[in-house]
Amino acid sequence: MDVLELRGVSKRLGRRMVVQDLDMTVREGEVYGFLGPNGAGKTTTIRMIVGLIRPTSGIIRICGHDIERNPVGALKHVGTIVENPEMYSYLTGRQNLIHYARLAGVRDIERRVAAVAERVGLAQRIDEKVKRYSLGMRQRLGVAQALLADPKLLVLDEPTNGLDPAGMREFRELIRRLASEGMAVFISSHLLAEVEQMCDRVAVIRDGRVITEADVADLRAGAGQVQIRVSDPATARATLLAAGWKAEDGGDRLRLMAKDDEAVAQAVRALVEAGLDVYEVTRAGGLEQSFLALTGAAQTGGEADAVVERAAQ
Amino acid sequence: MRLWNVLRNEWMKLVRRRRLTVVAVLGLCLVGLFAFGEYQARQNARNYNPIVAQQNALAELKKQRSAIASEPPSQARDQQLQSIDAAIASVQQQLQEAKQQAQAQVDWRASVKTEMDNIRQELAQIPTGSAALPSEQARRADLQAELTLDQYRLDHDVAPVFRPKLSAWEETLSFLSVADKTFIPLLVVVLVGDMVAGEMTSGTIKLLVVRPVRRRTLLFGKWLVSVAASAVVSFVLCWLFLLAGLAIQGTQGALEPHWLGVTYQFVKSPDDPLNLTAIPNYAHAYLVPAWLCVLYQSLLVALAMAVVATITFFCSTVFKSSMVSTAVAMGAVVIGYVVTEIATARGQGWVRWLFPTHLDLFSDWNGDLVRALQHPVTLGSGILTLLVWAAVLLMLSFIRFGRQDILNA
Repeated sequence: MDVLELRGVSKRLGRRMVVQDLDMTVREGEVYGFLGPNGAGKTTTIRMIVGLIRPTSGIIRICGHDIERNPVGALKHVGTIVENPEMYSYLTGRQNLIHYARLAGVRDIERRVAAVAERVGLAQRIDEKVKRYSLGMRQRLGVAQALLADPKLLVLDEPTNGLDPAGMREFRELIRRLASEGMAVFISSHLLAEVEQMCDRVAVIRDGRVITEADVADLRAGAGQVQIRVSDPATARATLLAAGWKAEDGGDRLRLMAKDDEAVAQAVRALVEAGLDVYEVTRAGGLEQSFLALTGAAQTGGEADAVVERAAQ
Repeated sequence: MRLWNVLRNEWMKLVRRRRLTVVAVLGLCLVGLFAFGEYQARQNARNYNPIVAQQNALAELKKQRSAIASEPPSQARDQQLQSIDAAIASVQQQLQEAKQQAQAQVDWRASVKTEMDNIRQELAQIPTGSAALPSEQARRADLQAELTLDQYRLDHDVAPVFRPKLSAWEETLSFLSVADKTFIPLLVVVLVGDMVAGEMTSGTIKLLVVRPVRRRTLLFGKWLVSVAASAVVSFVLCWLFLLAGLAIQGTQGALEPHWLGVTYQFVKSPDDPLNLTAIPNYAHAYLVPAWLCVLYQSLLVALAMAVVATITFFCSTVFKSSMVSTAVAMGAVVIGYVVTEIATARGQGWVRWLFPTHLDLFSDWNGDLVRALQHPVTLGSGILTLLVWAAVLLMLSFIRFGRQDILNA
């Protein structure tokens, strides 16, 4: 079932098209990564999905409800953190959650608040004022308020900003667990590593347009590939297949899976022994490389950083 | 049901914000200031004995006279003597009046009756009908009102409050007539200046708007809470002023009658061609005891402050920074006050369309405003003006908030 659907969504601010013609679908139980550099239009897209901004054109549906025509019906199924989860610092964690629960139409507010506080590991300090919370605790409270209404769609904007490595791991595990319970999760990020570890599918946005969309599993499968340029690709392929390699034809190059140096050496030896000339052997370079190949920015080299800011941590 | 939840939320936030504490502290400071002023006034009234003061003045004048009389005679000396004699006569007159007043305290009924006789005599000398000049008509109406008021005293057994005693009710009424145009609106601005802008500034608006609740419901709830809180705070403040006054001055004067609903007609009188003469009309006016006036006054203040809260609320939805929205609303109150005071004193009629003119609705009612403005204003038209301001700005707030893209909160 499609939980979130974007059709031809564009947003113009002043003269600038911030986001253009987005088409995306997020299914039940799926963690969908929305990857792009800062300023590419991620936050604008997220704000349109949760009804903070009106799209200039296009349709956004959540569980079948048009966010513009029926915001109440659509937002009933959404939990979200938009950028930093700012809370009322003069209220306690519990009061904040009660505040949001009242608006979210939660039935048994007290029990639900206690349950989400427990789930994000904040039960101990839920009655302290938020101004005494650390950044990590505020993030947890942010997640707690997003989960209050037991949403079908969780929309998170750069959720791991400011988390320490342990907090990030914990957060990833929580997201995976929620997805396995059937929740659809839409996560924006500028960190490839984060998307790789959390998401099932990923869309890459640049300058307001989605330039590619792919399954993370496919990208990962592409990692560990070796590309070989030889004098006679057809013969070379037959030779490798005979030797037990799974070689694929890739134009003037052969692609094959070779996890380590030993395997590469064996493949090259097999080709040389068959009397073929080997001109070039290159590693595809892991997920990041296959990703850059996919986005078509690998050739330009310097632009790679602009497309995907490397995992800095 | 959703609205009820929004109201509960907004109330919870309002009472826990620091702004409410600030308003409470400022309000109590004001009450303290008022109480101190009342205490001073009471001490002054007690220390001042009009009979002794006039007697001292008389003795001083007589000493001067004898000093001048001993100088060699000249024209200048005679002139000085003449002016001193005139001063002595006037002080003697005042002394006489002070003694009469002291006498009136013993038997106020007799003195009221004497006064009524004097008024009747004066009335008999003023021509009636179309022959009367406008100034004479005005004088006639005033005298008749005075007569009615005196009769009311006798009928309802209401003794006037004599110095050194002061009436806390009167003091509160006159203090409120200034405070409700200045201090109290500023407190309201502080209280609700960040209702929406504050959430924009802190970023909490995001997590508020993404709930399955219509924006107009959120805004309506916020507005209701702002208006209710402002009305309650200002009403309570009015009664705190009164309580402070009562604690210091005592309870006398509660039944003192006041005219409400006086209207005026402005005409040019041949004997005063430069100014307009105000002819009061008491046809639809009525006498109301002071305690009831304070109650009406505080209810009207609460109403006017609800309007100020709405105007501030509008600023709060237009400006994203709570500091800017508070500053603009404060500017509107302060500048509005100054402008309307100046324009009112000059009798410029257009100020009756501005909201600051009507913040003291009680003056719309008792006729003070009309008299100063020289243009027709009634309690009804004053309230209507305020409500139109509130309704228009509230509508603009809804349009603004309903359509707004929340980009960088």
